[in-house]
Amino acid sequence: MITIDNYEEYLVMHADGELQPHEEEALRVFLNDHPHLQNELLVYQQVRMVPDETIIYTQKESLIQPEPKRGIIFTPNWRTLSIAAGIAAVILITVAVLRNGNDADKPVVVNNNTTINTANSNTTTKPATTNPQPANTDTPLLQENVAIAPASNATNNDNNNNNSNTPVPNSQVNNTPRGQQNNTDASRDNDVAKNNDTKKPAGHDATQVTANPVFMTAVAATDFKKLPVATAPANTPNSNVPVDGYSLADAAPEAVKSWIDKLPLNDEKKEQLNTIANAVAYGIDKVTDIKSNVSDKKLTVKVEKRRLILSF
Amino acid sequence: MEVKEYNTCVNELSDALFRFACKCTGNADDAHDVVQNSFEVLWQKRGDVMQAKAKAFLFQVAYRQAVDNYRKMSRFSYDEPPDQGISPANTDLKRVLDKALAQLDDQARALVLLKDYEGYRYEEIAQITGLNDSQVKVYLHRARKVLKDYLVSMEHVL
Repeated sequence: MITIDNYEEYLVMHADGELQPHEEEALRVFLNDHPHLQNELLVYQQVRMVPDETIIYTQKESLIQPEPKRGIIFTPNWRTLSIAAGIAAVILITVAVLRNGNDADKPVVVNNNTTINTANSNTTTKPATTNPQPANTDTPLLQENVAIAPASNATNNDNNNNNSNTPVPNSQVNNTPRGQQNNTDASRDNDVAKNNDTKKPAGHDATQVTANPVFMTAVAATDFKKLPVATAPANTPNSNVPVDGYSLADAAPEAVKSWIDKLPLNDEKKEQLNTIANAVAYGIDKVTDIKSNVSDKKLTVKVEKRRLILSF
Repeated sequence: MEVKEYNTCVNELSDALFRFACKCTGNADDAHDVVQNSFEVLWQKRGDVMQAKAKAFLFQVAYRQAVDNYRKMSRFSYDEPPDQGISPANTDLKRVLDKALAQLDDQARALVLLKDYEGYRYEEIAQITGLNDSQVKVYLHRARKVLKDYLVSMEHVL
């Protein structure tokens, strides 16, 4: 109850905002009954300190404490990590599979005197008529990046000696197309003469070929198209080789097939190898046509993704 | 309280604490000391003080330092307000109130400042000052009456 004795307390509390609503109402009623106290209420409302905002503390920096540098804490998100690991594994497996499956894309480097052991596989030379493939497409069995030896090196066989690129005795040289290709004209003639018992011309019956290693040597580009042509020497009366020699259509297709079959590749890769051989043969023809205009001694021909280096 | 929160308190509360200390001590240098000591105590007690309670904690420490120091040292006479409290914007009423504030004892002055400057309620002021609600109410009533009388008397003079 607000009376004339305690009204100042209510006035102060009203100025401080500490009165309850019912006390505010009681004060309003009391002031209505005592209007001369209204001025005193205004004075109490004026007696209030207002903070001076211009006073600021200028030494805050001395109070600021350095915040510790927080390192990067690795909180592994195992789900994300597992997904990332799975993706990485798939990528690695894919790359591994592709690398293993693209062996045919790798350049086949045929060194001089490289021997392909065919001892475990008896090759039967069939009549050329059984293989309708055109000879000019199967003849160049040289694979990509086969470094064809310079002509000076490959044709240095005028004395009918064994080819320097075929260090193995001629008796061991098989009459496979690879063996034929690895010889120059003179040595090839010699080889054919010595091995004409195993080389069958077109139309002859098939014969078993003894297991002999096949030597792959570099062949001069100038002799490349001559390789399938195997002419029998004149001093071999019992030779089965026709006098006019093997024709490209007769010898090459079967030879190509047998040589590719001997490679340690699966059928698919052998098929790809055939395609490559055809492409290279086509490139060789092109190169032969333009080689007269080539000043450099080496020429790189890129057929599709294969690269053939020719040395003149 | 983390260091970052402490620094936030420094940035947000140091000015108000300094104004309160200036009015309580009437001296800027003493006010600096009060602020420094208050935040030093807060830093030491940061593990026990939440950021929401930091303001009351700081004013409580500042109040005790200011009031206790005044009582112990008795070196301060609040005849004139501190220099930093005077600004060109001060009106005559404000100057009169500052002089009236100097008429109060240190405890009543602190109560008025806590009420007017920071807007604390009676129970909050009681917690800061260690008084009970009735004491705060009575002390503030007395202080207001002194200020009113001083203001009325000055109006008669002017």
